[in-house]
Amino acid sequence: MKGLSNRSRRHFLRATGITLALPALESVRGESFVAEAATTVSPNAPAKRLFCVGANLGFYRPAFYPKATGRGYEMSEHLQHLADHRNDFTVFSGLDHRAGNGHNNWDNFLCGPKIGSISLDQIAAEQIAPLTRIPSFQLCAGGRGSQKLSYNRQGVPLPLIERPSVIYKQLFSSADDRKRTDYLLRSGQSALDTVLDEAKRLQQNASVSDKDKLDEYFTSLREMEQRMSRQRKHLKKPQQKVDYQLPPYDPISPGLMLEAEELMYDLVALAFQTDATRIASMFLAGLGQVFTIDGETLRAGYHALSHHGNDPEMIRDLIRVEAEHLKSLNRFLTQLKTKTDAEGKPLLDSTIVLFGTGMGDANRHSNSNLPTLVAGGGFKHGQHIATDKQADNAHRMGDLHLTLLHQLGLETASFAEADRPMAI
Amino acid sequence: MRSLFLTLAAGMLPTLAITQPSSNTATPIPDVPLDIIYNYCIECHDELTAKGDLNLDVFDVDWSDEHAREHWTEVYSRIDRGKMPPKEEPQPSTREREQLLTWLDQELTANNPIGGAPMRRLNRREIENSLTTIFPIPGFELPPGFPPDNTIHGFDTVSEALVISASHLEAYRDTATLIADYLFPQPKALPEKKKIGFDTGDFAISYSSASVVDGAMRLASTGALNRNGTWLSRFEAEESGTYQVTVELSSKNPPQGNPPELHLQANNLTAKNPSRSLATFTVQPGKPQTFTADVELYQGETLVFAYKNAPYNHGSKPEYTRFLQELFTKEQALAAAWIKLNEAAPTDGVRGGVPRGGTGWERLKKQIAANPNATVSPEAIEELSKKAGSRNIDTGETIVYKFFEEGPNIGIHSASIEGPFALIEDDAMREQAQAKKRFFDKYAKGKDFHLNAFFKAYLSKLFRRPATEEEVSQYVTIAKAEQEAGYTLDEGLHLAIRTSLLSSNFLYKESGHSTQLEPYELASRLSYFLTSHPPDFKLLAAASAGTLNEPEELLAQTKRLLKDSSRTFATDFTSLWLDTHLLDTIMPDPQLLRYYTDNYRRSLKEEVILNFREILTKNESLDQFINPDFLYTNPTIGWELYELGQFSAVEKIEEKKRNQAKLKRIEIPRDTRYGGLLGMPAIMLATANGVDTQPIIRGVWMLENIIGRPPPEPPKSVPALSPDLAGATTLKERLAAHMADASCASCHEDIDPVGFVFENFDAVGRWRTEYPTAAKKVKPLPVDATGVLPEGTPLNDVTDLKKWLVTNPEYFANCLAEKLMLYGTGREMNYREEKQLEAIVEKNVENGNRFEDLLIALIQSEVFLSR
Repeated sequence: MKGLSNRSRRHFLRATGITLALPALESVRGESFVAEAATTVSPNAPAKRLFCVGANLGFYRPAFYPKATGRGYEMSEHLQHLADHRNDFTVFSGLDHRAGNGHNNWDNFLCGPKIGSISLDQIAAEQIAPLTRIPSFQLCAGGRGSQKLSYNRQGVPLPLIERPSVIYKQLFSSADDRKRTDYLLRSGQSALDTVLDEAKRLQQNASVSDKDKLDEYFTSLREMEQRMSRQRKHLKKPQQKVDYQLPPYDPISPGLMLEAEELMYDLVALAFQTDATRIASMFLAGLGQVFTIDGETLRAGYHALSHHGNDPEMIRDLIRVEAEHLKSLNRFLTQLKTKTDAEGKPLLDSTIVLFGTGMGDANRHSNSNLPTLVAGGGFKHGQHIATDKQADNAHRMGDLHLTLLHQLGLETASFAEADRPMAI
Repeated sequence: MRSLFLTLAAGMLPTLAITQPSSNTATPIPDVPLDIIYNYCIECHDELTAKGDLNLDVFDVDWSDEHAREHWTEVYSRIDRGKMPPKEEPQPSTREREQLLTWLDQELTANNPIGGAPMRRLNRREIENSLTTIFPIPGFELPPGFPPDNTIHGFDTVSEALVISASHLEAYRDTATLIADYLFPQPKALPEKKKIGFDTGDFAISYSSASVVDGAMRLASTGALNRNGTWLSRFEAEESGTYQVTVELSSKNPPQGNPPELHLQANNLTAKNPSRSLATFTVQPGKPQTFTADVELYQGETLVFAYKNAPYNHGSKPEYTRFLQELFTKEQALAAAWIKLNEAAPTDGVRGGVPRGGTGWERLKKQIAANPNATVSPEAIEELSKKAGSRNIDTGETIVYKFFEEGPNIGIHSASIEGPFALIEDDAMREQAQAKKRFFDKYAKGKDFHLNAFFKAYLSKLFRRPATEEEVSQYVTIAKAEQEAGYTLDEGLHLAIRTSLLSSNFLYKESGHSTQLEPYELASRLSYFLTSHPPDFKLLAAASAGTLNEPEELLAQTKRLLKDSSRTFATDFTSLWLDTHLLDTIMPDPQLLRYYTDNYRRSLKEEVILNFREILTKNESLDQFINPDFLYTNPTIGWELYELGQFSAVEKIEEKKRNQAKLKRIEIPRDTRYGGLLGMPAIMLATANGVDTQPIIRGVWMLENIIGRPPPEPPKSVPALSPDLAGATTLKERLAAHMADASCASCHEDIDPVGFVFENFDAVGRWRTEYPTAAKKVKPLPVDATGVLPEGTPLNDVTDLKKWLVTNPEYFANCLAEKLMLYGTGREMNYREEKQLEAIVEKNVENGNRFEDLLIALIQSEVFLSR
């Protein structure tokens, strides 16, 4: 039957000269990279800022997940550290990207199943970045290793800044630094005509396919030029004064990772407070750091602890390290509650904090069932939302990411392959 | 072939109508193939069902459309390989199949061009190598945040994937600014003088290098700094300058006639330079004494402290053993305690004996307190000293705690640094001044500096061809304009360098409209292909003379480059082709490899490189990749992974001290599981995740990289499979489901046999016959590596697969040829080009299937010489 109807339709179409083409996939190239034009983000969105934090080695799940679900759950060992903010966050269990295992696949934390797809924070940055001086921050505490966190639309992993002083300089540069930066931007801009001429000459002798490449180059050049103008404009604005001083050194010595982590949280809070940027992401490293916690030096490095082999003493020490991450987060959430936005409301009300990992169980390098929590951002919090992965239509991590984008006022139907926003 | 997705396997078919409807250039499909398509394909591939996103419900094809050609090429290969129509569906007759394929072959051969790839951006590797060649800056490396490149089929050289964005240009600009700042440094201002105080919490402890006792950071041993010293972890000198250091030191229980000396040094811990000596303080016992020194610190340096003449040194085994014997003789209760702890039977899951570090010393102290007057025979003391002495690093980190507590030790109570008082020129700044001189010597010969001559030389190097007058004059103008605006000439050159590294003439290669590459473009292609660097002056001279495109000259240049750069070629090509670059991100489970160090990883990669290089430079048969009579290994890998008896002596050496010696070539018999790419540890590690094996990943890897039959993209959202360690089902049983489902089977009948055959190799490449179990009591499951190749050959283990590949050499040869061309030309081969390559390979197989012959024939081919 089917064949027959096809046959007749084919003949009909041949006769009339019409063929219905299925929609073509757009090439991954040639799309605009950061929207320079007016943003399409809704001004009435409940959330305005996004901060994504990912821990390289994840969290020991029995210490992270509460036993009960819903609103009345009893705080787990890790969540105890966030007790002050119980009604300002939601904890999620059972979500993941349905990706393969191994440290490599950690990198899909913000990307969805495919490493290198544009990451959650950068999707938001495309729309929100034009509103601020700095498009977005990508930070790391404790050495970046080879792991990646944020990817732009072209699949390029964005560099992670390891030194708090570098961030601080971007936020609050000295007058001399600003003068030099302005000179480099201004002179660099003025000389761009030369490379533009060169590319135009190249274009004259170019093949058709070369011309596509050159168009991409011209677009990038133009966009860089616009970014330079924007940076210069922001340089001229008076700097907001804040009462914050970094230590005179960068805590990049591996054992000082937890100290670096706290400074990074402080700087993100300051960046949000001064509206220097509204998007940030941070990587919490998991190399061989040996930590000293409460004066006691642990007996193994962080990575070795994560391969605990179910040894209770190893697990105990691992939990002690992880607890430090939770305590830092707690202090950060407190800061966001104390600091206020231009309208005098707590920053936390309009800031989404995604705190999670791409690693479900570092002991086995498993990337399923990722411990995750979301704080702030105007959601109705206070729950433990558990997802049964085996169930039909089980939500995936991408559904949560999509939910966050909607909360930021971005009208997008899907994130990676997920298209069913979650009810929070 | 143009791919719509980056980094994905070839062969997926995005939903796309194969023809542009009613396009002027479309040709009707002749009736014979049209009827065959209708009779056998349309059931699933009509325009609405479009199974596999493939719509064959069309009447004409626009052969001028690249996408259409790609799709029909895919159709050709599915039919040619018997993948379509599916086995359970009605099959065309042999004659019909041939008619359809002949039609497609004619159209695809006639309508595909040779070449046609767009110009290529330099990738990250090439940019780094180019900048190293252009700017004589010692140890130049791109900044860590410099964007890496997208890949297609694992290669970073493919035009399609080498996109550019504003972020790329910003990274180029920032890198250029770093280079310009290096050559033309900004004058530095003296920062405000500060005085910073430090207490014991600001000193770093590394392993058991120091410990806080009685309010002071104690140093009690001498030797390598990272195990015996301490440093200020919360200080970095802001600028190179003069500083004043004040430290408060005491000593405890110093040896007679040998007052402790504290060695104060400076080190930049992120730069891996040796420490610089600053001062030595002799510390008397009793109350803390204050010492002051005026020192020079370089930017980024911190202060390092060491107990220079500590009597305790556990770095050398014989000395340390003698030391222990003396100590145990004097303090027999300690020896008795140690022996007692060693005797205690280890309980389940807990290692017995004396633990390393402070925990061990605590247990010893308890034991001593329980029996403070114990005595030990001299024989037992000797035995204990030998035993503990042979594990010097381990036991040394326990004993040192005794000296932290009792002395002899030096205690650091506090420190402070004041400064900088004045700026100084440090080593790096002197090196910088020399680099600037070399830069000008390179591009501005003679005493007089002429801007024109300088830019002519510099831009010609940068653009890999003579710079035109117009180009030179534009850059001269940039430099002069800055001078006229009141800046220095250095500022003008600074700006010109910043600008030039954004130039499309630098960033792109192989541009132009002719089909054949022009001589300078060919020089670049050949050079980046074989050396990953820009063309040298000999290549450019041949291009300038116009002889490079002649076969003899091209052959001579190829041989010259291969001779000089085979190592770079082998390193860069294999890491992308065989995915061994993944080793940098895989951390093997310590239960599989207990001491996996950087050096271990390097040796694993080195094996791949040496193997490749030998076959290439000796022009050996490609069979040597599959079933060789040689192996490169070192005693550690030879014993731990290959488990070769001839290296069993390594067993006697403590694991982490096993010599990571250079790899040596050994001869091995053919037709064994040893040797060649199949089962090579670096590859087994790269195709697993460090813990479990994933046979599907290995199978896909084999099809993609060795057999040359990459499968299409997997269906979305299929979870990864890992062995179930509870021991309930085998992986293979679970995967049997693949074969039950026809849509899975069409790919998995290819993937599974060549993936499971590697189940005998664990996640680090060690041979196994049983799967590991989670608990000791569970009976291990046997490894089943058997399978049947789709054409019927049964495989018992990897040796059968080796035999099959050597018997059918064209699979591997074609695959390697295609990889080489993708890497070298930056484009995926279309149907017509593939046919040309197949012809080259066929001829080469007849002539002994030699590697260098093949590479040279490929470079001489029309495909390589075309844009």
